[in-house]
Amino acid sequence: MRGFIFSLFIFLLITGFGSPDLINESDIYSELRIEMVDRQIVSRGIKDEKVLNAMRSIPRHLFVPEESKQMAYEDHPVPIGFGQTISQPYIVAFMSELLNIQDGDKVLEIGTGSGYQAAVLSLLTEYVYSIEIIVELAESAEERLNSLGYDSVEIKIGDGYYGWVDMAPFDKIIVTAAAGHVPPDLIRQLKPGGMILIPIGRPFSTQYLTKIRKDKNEELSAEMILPVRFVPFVGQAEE
Amino acid sequence: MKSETRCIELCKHSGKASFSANKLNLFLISFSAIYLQIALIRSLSAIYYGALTYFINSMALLGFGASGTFLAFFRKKLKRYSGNIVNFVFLYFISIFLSQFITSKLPLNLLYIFYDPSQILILSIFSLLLFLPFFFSGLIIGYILISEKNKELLYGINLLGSGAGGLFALGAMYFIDPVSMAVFALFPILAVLVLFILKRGKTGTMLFLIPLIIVTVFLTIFFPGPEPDQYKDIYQYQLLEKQGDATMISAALSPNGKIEAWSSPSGHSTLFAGLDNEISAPPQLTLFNDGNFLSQLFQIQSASEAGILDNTIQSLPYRTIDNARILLVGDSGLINAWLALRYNPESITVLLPDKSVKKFLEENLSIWTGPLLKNRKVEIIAHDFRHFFTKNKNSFDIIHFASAESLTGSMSGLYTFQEDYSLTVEAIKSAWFALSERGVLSLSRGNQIPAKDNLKILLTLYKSGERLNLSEPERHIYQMSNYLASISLFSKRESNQNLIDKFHSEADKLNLHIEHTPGDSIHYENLINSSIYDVRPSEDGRPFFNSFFRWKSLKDFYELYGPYWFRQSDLGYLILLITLILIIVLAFIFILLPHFWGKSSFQSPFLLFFPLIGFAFMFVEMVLMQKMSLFMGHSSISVSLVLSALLIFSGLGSIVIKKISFSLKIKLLIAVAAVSLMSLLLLIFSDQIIELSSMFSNITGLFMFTICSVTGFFMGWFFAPGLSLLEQKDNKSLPMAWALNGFASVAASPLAVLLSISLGFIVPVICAIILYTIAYIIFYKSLS
Repeated sequence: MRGFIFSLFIFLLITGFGSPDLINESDIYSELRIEMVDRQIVSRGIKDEKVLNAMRSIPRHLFVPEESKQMAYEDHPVPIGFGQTISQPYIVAFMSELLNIQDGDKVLEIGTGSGYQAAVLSLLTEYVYSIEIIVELAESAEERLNSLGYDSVEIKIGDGYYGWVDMAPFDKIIVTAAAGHVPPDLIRQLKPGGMILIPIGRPFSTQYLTKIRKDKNEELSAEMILPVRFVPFVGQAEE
Repeated sequence: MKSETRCIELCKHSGKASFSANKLNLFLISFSAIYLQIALIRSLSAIYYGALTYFINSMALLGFGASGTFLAFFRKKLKRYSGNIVNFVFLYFISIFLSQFITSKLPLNLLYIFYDPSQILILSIFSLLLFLPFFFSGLIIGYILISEKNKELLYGINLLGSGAGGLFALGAMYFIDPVSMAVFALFPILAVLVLFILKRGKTGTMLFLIPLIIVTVFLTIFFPGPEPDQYKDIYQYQLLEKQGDATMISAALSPNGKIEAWSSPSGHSTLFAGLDNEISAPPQLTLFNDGNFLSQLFQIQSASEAGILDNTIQSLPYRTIDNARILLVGDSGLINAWLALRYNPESITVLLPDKSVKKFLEENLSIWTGPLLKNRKVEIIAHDFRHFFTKNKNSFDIIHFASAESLTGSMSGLYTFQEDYSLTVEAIKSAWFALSERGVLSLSRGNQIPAKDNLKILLTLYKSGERLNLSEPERHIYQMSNYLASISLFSKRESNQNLIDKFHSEADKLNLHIEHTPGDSIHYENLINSSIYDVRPSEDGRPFFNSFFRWKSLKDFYELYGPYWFRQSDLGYLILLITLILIIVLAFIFILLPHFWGKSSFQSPFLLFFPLIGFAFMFVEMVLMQKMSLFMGHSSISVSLVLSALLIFSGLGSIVIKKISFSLKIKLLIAVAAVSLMSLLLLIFSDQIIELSSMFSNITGLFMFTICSVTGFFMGWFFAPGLSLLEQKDNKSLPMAWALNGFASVAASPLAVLLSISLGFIVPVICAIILYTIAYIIFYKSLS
């Protein structure tokens, strides 16, 4: 009897019985994703169907390290190494909706991190430019985005403080890292009528997601939207 | 209490003592244990976050307490005295290395403690690893004490070693990098091992000596120590360094921290420039203290290159007062000095709290600071803020608290329990007296929604005005904001319309929004009661400016943010709460639980005496540590000083009490009265103590050491008589008494910090007085 149980155990082990990775990983994660959108995003008032569909389709678990896959769809940010994190799903959706991206909009993202926010943006417009200062993060994000088919995103390694002058001006600029102030270069690279979303505050502290608008007369206005918590400007966003 | 408990443990185990004295070994182990305790406090603040003093204290006490429990159970089974000592010393040696090595590899992520339950487990392992060296050192000390003759001499050596270890640690902070400071505790242990091996004289064991020495030297020289936590500000610069985008250009050590200057094109500070600013910030260095952001330093040669500063909110007072005499408090990066220089001042005095920062700026960074410091209008002085204002005879037209410049109140609330005496009502009051008749105090801070830091600053200014007996404090206060931050101004003269118009006109030029103008009423109580944060002004008796947690608001947070309410709350307070629970669980398992299974008796009602004095002792000790940083200027210095003074003098007190001829009842009554008086005097007369200590600033340390020594001396009067009495009444309860006392000491450390943050230092002190009084009554009745 003991021999039988042992053999059965080995058989189950070899065939991967009980392991979500080997049974039908994509089905499980797809269910988790839909549940994530319903429970964490729709229930909190996000209505933009384009954003919701983007988040229903992008395999978020492929944007986190292997050991954190189980947490990928939970209602919180997930560490991705280098002191960086992938943002909480709700914050990604909230910022994406707030940007109100229209077809053909040129969007600049500061802080590529894992590339997840860029992937979401790439389903809202085909012109997405993203800057990441940490070389390893930028390279792995580029590889990931290309392999998953989000190849319209252009990534540059560099200091996002100075924006991307060759690609300017932009309709929308999203900063996914805590900044001490709005960099003057980003304001210069914003089109009249455009918007910058930027978390103002110290890294790892509570920051305030701030919406900067440049009207048609190039007058600037700022509005604090909500408290958030992001990692430093040199990296990707947290919450 | 730990030395005291060790002493008493030896008193009850007066074993056969047929062994030669291990006086030098005892000295060296006591030395290394206290050195290690202070080194870990220092090192944790550099690797993780400051003010984890309570945590290391608890781990040390837990280790000492658990070693007592171990000895109580297994002492009779330990047959080979010398052999056991060598084994324990070797285990102590290994445990230090392992605890340093493994803790540096543990993926401890305090910010994720609420998302990821495995972090609780990691924190528990982390705690146990820090506990082990203290367990083994306590074991060695306790074992020597209970096994040798001439206990009082041995106890004296134990205290001497502990005190020397504390003082040595203080000195070592000038020379040893904080992250690798702990491994230097291996040297005294190595010396003990060498002495043992040399004494044996066998060739085999002698051969063992060489690799041991090599390993120790190798470890202390090449062990890099744990890397700074990934959430420390400096971590990002270290990442950039790896890809060639940042360089550490200079560093200096002092007990106040390790200062580093980094150069990177990614430093972009503009102070609080407005949205309309179109000028880019000049190249700059970033300064860190213990891995935390200290300030930026502009790499410029003249004020004309700092044009961006004209657009900052901080420029407001300079625009309104001509030819001003300016005092910049804590302007570590001298950016405010460049700003002030652009407005043709009469003089600029930069007041730095730390001599080592001044030296660092003047010597290490002279290429960049030289052009500014050579300007005849600029003077840089190093002095503790509070002492400076007490001694100061000059008057200033603008006093700007650059030290308060921060975008947010705290790093996820993790500075909640870091005392800060520069933003208290008393600090504002003392600065007020240094203002000229046309002078203003100025503070700028990042904005928050709902209002938090700036509301607290507004209320602090108002409260200071009340304490200064201003008839209408609100008529002296201005608060204005741009999209980033607010500036709060506290004017010496009551504002008239002309003055208000002048400020408003300059504010308009900067596109500032008026938040408060003189004449608007400030409903002090309403603002405090209606805020979801704790916005009560911080005071010297509760100097936790960065603490905003409010129990009353938990429900509101939950309703607003759902199950993740804690994200918007003060994590620091909650982390303190979690560590308190964890520490209590560990102390229960390692100190108390074994006694319930053993033969210890816990029937005697007199046993209650021991946890009472355990709690009381630690309440006073923790308050002394936090309060002393007001007088000593920095918490590392104050912790070393208080720990050394209490260790030496509480032990001395427990020896001396036997020689005093009064009855025990009278002696304990004197002790209760003396401890109560000393701790209350320290709290009530802290202004006078600052005044006194600033008059004799060269001997402030000695003065404070004396205060702690006297308090410690009397606190040492309780334990020994208590144990003697219990021995007469119920001998079997002795191990339980010791365990209860140890348990209470461990738990009291974080509890004291929690009480101080919420209710002020006075509460743990009053609790200590009540607990000592109840303990006295129990003692009195038991004696009768």
